[in-house]
Amino acid sequence: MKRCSSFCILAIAVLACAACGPAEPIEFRYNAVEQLKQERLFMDEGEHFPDSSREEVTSILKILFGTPDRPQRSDEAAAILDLTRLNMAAGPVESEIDGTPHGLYREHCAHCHGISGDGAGATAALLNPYPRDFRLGKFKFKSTPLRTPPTDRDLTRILHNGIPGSAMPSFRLLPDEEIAALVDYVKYLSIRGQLERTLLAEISSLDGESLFEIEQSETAPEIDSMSADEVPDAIGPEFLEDIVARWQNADERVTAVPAAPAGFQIGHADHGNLTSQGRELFFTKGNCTQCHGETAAGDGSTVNFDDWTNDWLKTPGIDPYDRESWKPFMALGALRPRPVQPRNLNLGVFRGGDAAEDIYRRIANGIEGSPMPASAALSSNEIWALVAYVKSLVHANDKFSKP
Amino acid sequence: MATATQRLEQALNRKMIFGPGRIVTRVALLNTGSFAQMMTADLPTEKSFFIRIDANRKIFVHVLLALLVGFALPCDKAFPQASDSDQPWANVSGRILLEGKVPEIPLEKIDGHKDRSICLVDGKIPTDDSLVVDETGGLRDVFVILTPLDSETKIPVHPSYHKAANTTLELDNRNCRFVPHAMAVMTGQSILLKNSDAVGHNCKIASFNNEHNVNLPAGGEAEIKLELADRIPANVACDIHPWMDALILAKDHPYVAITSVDGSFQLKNVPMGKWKLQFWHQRFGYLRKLSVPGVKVDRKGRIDLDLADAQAMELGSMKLPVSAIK
Repeated sequence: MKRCSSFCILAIAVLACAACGPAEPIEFRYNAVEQLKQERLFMDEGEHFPDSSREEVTSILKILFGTPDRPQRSDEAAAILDLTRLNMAAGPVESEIDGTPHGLYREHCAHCHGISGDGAGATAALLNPYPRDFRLGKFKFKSTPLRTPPTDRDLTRILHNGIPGSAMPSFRLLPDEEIAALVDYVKYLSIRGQLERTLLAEISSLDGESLFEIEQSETAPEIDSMSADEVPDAIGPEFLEDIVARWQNADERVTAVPAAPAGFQIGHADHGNLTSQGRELFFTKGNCTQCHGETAAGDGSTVNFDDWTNDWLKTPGIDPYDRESWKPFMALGALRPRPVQPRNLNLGVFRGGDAAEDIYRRIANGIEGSPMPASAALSSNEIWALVAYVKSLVHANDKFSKP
Repeated sequence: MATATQRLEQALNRKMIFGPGRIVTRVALLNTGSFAQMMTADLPTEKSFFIRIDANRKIFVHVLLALLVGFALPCDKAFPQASDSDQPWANVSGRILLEGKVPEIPLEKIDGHKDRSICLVDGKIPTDDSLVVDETGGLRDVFVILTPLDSETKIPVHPSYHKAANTTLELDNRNCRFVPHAMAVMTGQSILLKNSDAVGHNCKIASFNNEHNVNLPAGGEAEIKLELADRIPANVACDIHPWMDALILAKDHPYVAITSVDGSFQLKNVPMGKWKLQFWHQRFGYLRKLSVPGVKVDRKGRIDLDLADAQAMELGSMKLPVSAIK
């Protein structure tokens, strides 16, 4: 009897170990949604990329960027990515004897943003808004204009402050070097994701031919035996260079915020004339009511999707109201399309920060990836007037709520 | 097995579409033995590329082939200078006709929108303009794009276009519609976004290489440029009126025609030589099912265009089955 029960315990222990035992090596998830999109865009129904395309893209990315456990950084990206920082952020969660941490990304980020930075981590589908998918290289809250990546300072700020009104928390308690490691890792995942998308688009333009200039044969080395310096040259160095160049120059493209006009007092709700001028603009030249509504409650108009959804939904012409048509994309990892709402400005919750200059930049540059456009026709004083009005709304609301 | 020369030529003929209008360096992986063979090969001119002689020794030799064959490199920014006198030019024209029963064109989804009254055209809800076919079957808004055989070749531009590149094109918002529905621009050419409506719009232009999102209040306007060339047209959308859409294709040359209401197009002053002509439409994608008399259309909707000495090339009526709609 005793032998039997100990056997049972042993059996259970063995089973338990098998279940959680040596796991598969963790890999980046292939962007199959992008492949399906390219197939829908450029191929006949039922036609697909050859399997070799997927293998080739995976191999190229592995050589240039390594794996989630062992990140690589090719020379092209040396100016913007620090390998020591990447190593600190990558890998499983552990620390060295001296306390140097590893696996910061998996500890703090991956459960929402996913191992690959695809914004589809384990909890992603439950969150609203969805966690950011870094692979498009688009970021909403930054000091740079559309199609320019955020600066390190912008990303650091998001990690420090979190994003009010979303599930993104503040990581202010982390030491500076850990924040810096995560910033570099976000850039790394973003650049990797952008290159993956670019290569997939290139494959679709090549009708599934090899990305390498010359087909693999006895005269050329196998892809897998190439080093990180050799691959960019072999596929055409401009792919990676162009992506990296954009990140590299982000600092030079920060939108300057001119001094506020007289009458604007930071931290004060009442900006006098400026507020009423801003109110006038809100209804007219600012074009704000079209989406934010006349009471700025975000009830102006229209059901819309953001760029991360439209990228696979609208580009290949998928009907957002026809579940059957987007099911195949969801099966490959896309999240259920969910409309974006214009912000309710009365609540005082500003995702990109509530400092006057944050709101200034949101109006001046628009918000990348969202319907919010850049104000092309407003002078800087007019933008400041709108900032004053938007800032006054929160307090106007206070008055209503008091008896 | 392909010879080294063939493979090299293949490499040189590969399409490069995402490079921003600069000379694209090309790489060929060759072993030492292939080098001499390559030197004697009949290679296309005006190429610059790197050749790695031996993968293991990591020796990079920059071969400036242009010097070998006595040609200068094409200038990056300016148009390739063609001497007007001896460079003959030809006009290419044709007409695209839809064959089969045209599906019923739906009305724009305007009902229920707060700006409905302003968005009506002559008091009526307009039809969707992604598929415009006249009574003879002429298909409007097909992009007809001249493309070189390889990515390094720059298309010589006729002097008559030099001025056109500096003119400003207009894209109006009128009755909650973009006018025109389809347009072609040259990279760096100014586009004036206008709003003739009494309600606000935004104008979101998105393609692989270009992106703008401009606020256009009632009566407002703004000027933008598309700096990089695209493979297929950029989508233009208004987030406030989701039915609004238009297409803009930016290329680094002026040889893009858009079919008019009867399906006809004309490309004027096309340089002599061997080119490809590509056809693309919003609802069909690349027109691979197009039938051009006596000419083969490839998977990318391209035909070979060999302009030898004719002053005009008439491609005639080309038929496209309705069933090819995506």
